[in-house]
Amino acid sequence: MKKMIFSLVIAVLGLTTTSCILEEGDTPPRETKAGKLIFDYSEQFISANLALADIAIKVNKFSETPADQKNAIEDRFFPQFKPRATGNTWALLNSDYVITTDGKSLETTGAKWRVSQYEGKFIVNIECTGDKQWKLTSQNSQDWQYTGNTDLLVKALLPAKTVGPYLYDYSVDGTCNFMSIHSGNYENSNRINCTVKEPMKFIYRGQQSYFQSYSNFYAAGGKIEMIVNNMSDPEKRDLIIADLSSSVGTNIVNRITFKGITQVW
Amino acid sequence: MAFVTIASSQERVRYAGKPAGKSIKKSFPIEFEFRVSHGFLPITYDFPENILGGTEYCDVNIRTLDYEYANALQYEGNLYSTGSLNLSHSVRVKKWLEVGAVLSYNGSFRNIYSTVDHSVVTTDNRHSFFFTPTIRFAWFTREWVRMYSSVGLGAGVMISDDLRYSNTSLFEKDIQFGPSIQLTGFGISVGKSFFGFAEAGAIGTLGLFTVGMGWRLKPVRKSF
Repeated sequence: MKKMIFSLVIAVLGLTTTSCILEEGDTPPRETKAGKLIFDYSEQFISANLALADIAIKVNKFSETPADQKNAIEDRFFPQFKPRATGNTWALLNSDYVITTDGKSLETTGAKWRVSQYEGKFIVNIECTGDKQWKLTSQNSQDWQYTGNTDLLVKALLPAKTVGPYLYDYSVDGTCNFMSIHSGNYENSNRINCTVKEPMKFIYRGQQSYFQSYSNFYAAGGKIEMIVNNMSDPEKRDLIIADLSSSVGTNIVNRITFKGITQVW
Repeated sequence: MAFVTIASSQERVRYAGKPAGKSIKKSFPIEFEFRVSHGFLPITYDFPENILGGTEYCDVNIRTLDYEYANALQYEGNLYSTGSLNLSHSVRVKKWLEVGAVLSYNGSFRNIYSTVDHSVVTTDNRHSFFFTPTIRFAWFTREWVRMYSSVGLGAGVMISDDLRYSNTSLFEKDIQFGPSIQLTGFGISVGKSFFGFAEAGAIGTLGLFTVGMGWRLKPVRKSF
């Protein structure tokens, strides 16, 4: 009897030492993956604001084009959503873009325009501060995924494009901050603060539907610092630096530094 | 003579209710059985998560910036499972019928690593306990071999680290109660007092297929 019980116990112990891998684990990602992610979101946020400004700049060019050349400009920049003016307000037909002007050309220093989208929730204020130079500002602007603030200085990179759906590449400087529209005052919500350290070059990404709020532009130069602030714990802050100064043309070299580790993406 | 008559009468009295000359129907000699076994791929309460997609570090269905950032800071190691470790006891009340219960444990273990330095930041461990009363139907019985099917229905509990939406490895214990169900299509045991067995064509909290060993005991019947 005792031998039988002992045998059973040994058998149980033997079985307990066996186990199997039910699921393979993840392939270890790159150490700066989280930093790259924040850069991608920051790039998208800046580009979303820049895209609205770009629409306004193109509408301005359309408005200043002689009548006999308007069709060509319209087809080039607004193939789907035609710009139409009512007084000082422009609308792109069949879209929710609305451009409110002050009656001045956006190339005139001091001119102030406003571009809105998403039923007026996403608003960018544009002020001409010099030759082909504009200040972009927004407060608590919200699109389908972000809400944030911007204080950016944008310069058109010359020469202007003469063919294709885009007009300028841009240089961007300044600051912005944003968070996910799903974030709030609960644990693990984050606000991203961005500071451009070296003016960033933004290149037109490609022809996109104007209804898509993600950027029509991507970063191809410059340097930006981003801080991830935990909204429920002020002591939890992560610093990320993205250095694209080694990029040449469309060959992007992005050095991401996150928690002391630098990797090229 | 009188003693013989009395003895014969007493014999009749012992079997009171039974006419003289009729054979006595013997009751089935009950048999106790103890088993220890290992079940593979038991269906526990986190089974769909393990098979279909693994663990998400978020309790919302929207891939937000916060969710993606938290996810990017950690990654999962291998998921290890003990399978179902079973102890059972049953009583054979008929030649074809056994009733009993199974006590089971299933554990799964996973390390969560930091993306930055690949250190273990926390673990995702889950412990399941099941108590499953079972009925076993033997449809083939011989001295050394038995084949059977079985059905079990009971209750269980799973205790786990609840992976909250967190980038700081903040976990809370999660306790889930639920049923324990086991359906076995085919089982075979080979042996007499000591036996080995295997079960297949099964589904449930005790495993898709099971192997183990056991011991049978027949109580000693007192003689009159």
